[in-house]
Amino acid sequence: MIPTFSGRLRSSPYAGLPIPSISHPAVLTSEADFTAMALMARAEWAPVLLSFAQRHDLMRRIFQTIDAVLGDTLQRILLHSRVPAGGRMPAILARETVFIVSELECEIARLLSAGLSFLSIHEGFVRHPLEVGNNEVEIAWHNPPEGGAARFNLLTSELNKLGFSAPAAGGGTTSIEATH
Amino acid sequence: MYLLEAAVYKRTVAWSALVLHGSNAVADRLGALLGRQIEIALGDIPAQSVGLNMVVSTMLDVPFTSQWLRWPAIASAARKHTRSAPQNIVTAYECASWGYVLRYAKNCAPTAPYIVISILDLNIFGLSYWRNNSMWGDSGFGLTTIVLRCSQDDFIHCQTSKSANAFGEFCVDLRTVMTVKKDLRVCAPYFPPNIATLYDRLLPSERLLTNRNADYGHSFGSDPWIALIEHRQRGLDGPSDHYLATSIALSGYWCFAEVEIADAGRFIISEAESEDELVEAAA
Repeated sequence: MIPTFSGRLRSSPYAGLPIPSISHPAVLTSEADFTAMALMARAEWAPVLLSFAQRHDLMRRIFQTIDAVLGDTLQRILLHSRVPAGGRMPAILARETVFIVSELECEIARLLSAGLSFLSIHEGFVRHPLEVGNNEVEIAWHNPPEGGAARFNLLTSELNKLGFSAPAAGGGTTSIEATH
Repeated sequence: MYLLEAAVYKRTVAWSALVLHGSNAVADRLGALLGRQIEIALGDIPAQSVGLNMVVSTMLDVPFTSQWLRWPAIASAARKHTRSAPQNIVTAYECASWGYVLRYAKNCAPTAPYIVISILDLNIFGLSYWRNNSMWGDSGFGLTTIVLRCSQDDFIHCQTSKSANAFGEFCVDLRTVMTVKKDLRVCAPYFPPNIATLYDRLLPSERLLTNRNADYGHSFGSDPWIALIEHRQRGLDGPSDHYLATSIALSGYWCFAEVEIADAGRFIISEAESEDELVEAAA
């Protein structure tokens, strides 16, 4: 059994609040700089709903929610994440039981073989037009204990309060997949 | 304590001409660079003795975020050149990423004793931001591959800054560890004199290995390993010497690892291939 949450932001959870400017944007000064940005530019991108600081804050709130609901049962959290720049991550993400990595699958296999109960989190919050993502978040609980599904439903309910909706419509959803 | 079996550093030039051949050419070349260097670093160590094998990077962020580069393509290219291909890439902790990988590995308790980490900081696009910056001075670009043998008493310490003055906190934390572990020599990150002056004010600087910023620039997570390679090459290490490898990230993460240099290890520094050679190889 792998309880899974899939949610998506369709509007900013910080709408109406002031956004501090980014203090050190990368400045393009040379021909090579412009060539690089042209190569990496994307023709289409999802709406930019979060600043860098707001993304950090949203992740902090997601982790606080996870701690409140599942904290006593989890041994690890794997987080897929992208650009590290944009300021210091919240301390709750840098703690010892969390590992932030570019590819989740290989680490999921590693922790499964170690027999751990853990979450894997994929986030695709878009902060600038070069960034891949669709403002989605997917959370899966690997090796949950007995009764885990009910607790995961509670987590889903709490996460939806942060502003997530389902990839299609309505609130973020829980599904139960077959075990690994 | 970690036993440093190998440390190999290769300088790199910008790949501005190669990128015009497309992302596949860059991924192939990155895979070849990583795979070949891992093979050199591993020497006779069997692939099945490697419990964890990862790449870390401070600089290679936007190429992955934009998916101009994809990790699976690089890993696939690396497999053509090594018995032990890197399994994943970590950029989240910037220059301190190698330490966070060691912390993760310790918590996973891999069944095989060796860890391979490749610290890849290559200015692929020749971006101005990465060449020089007031926050760290001139940069040094290259690839370091380290092979560490793990044991039960490995010391790895990762920390996050609590204030705006991360570098000051790093120095104070380092001083605390140096006070407790009085026999350690320390490989501190290479910074220009205006920044490194804090080492002289806060640390017992006679226990620091030489700051080679003038020759290597700030080489991100590679600094402590370059220091250890040179230390061995110059015959400055003794049979029971212990070292503390350290790195700090601009955003306020740092790491310390206690290491001993293996007697019969592989410690190599090599120069960069020219950009012409890179383009010829891609053609």
